[in-house]
Amino acid sequence: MRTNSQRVFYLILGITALTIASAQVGAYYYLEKSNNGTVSNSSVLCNYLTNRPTGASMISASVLVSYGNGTMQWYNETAVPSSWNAYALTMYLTKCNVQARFYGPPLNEHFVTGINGVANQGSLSWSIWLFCQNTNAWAYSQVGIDLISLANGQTLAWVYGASSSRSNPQPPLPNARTVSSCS
Amino acid sequence: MRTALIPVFTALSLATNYAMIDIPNVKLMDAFVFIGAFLFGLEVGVGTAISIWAVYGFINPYGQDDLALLLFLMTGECLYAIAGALLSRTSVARDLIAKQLQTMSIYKQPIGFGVGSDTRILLQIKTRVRNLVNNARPYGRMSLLFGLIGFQATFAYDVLTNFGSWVFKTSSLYQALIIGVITGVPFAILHEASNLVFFATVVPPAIAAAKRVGLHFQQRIT
Repeated sequence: MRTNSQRVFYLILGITALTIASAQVGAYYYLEKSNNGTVSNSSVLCNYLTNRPTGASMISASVLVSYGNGTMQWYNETAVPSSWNAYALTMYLTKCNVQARFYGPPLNEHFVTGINGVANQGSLSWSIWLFCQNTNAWAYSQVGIDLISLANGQTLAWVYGASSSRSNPQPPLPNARTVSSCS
Repeated sequence: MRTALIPVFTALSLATNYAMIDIPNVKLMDAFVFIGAFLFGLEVGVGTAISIWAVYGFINPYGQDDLALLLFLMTGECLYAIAGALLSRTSVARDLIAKQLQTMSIYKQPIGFGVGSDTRILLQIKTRVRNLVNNARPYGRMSLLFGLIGFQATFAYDVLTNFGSWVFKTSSLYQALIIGVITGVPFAILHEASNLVFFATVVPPAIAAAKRVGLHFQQRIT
């Protein structure tokens, strides 16, 4: 009797482990196939990220995308959930036309390598700037995009241009005033 | 006495964590938390789990964890303690360990009294080989049992912590769960595979050895 119950116990353990293993392998296959290590607009993750819930508290944020060749695109006062970060906002505004490499735990960060079809190339790359309302100047973000929490009335800018490890990239607007940080 | 075991397991776990820092998600600490709870009770396991993350969450070359994620990590680590404490109460685990100890006591018995020296040596070798095979059998079952339990506890830990790393970045709990599970899957697979191996190879001999030297269930520790 006891042996039978032990067999059932082992059987349940084995079946559960197999189910988990299949689910994990399936999820891995899905991640590799749909994203190939990057997030793209074909990804179901995009739909989850940008599907705005009803009833969430909303804020408005503006985003400037400067393509480095004089072309600038403003997304003015977009209403988004207050829980979103700058990554979710960018994904939403660009309809997930964002290439990003995700660095998992413990970093849990996205490194954006392309926006609206314009990808990093050589020394040209995307950088993110925050508009500081208290100083009326732009500040180059010192933290990753996932760590930028949104506030009501906030303005961000994505800038495509040359950058080096020694100096900050060019500000979003020509001759715009810059500060090292908003605080 | 039991409280003194918490820093011992914590120190052991932290030492191996830092030694294995270059291999992400492959750590012996989960096995140590499980062993602590299995041998000495839930309090030791939970105490060890929380103490480890109280140090490892802050002093980490990859950076500090924020408080919310740290809570998820501590809770997730406690799952190993719960698994260990629960398994120690099951008849399956008790029977396996009893069999293992029985086999070891047979192994220790003197062999070949009253026969010639050549025959005695031959008898000793034969008996030792037979004992070795018999001895490996309960280890095999223990490996299967602990490996499967470790694998499932690791899956639960991964789901919880991946959910925790997304819960404040997404707009619903469901989103956090789906995104967390999918984006974290490469790390989860590595974590689950390594823990399956550790729980199947490290935990059974450690528990059997502890029993053999008299470190029995928590009721013996006062």
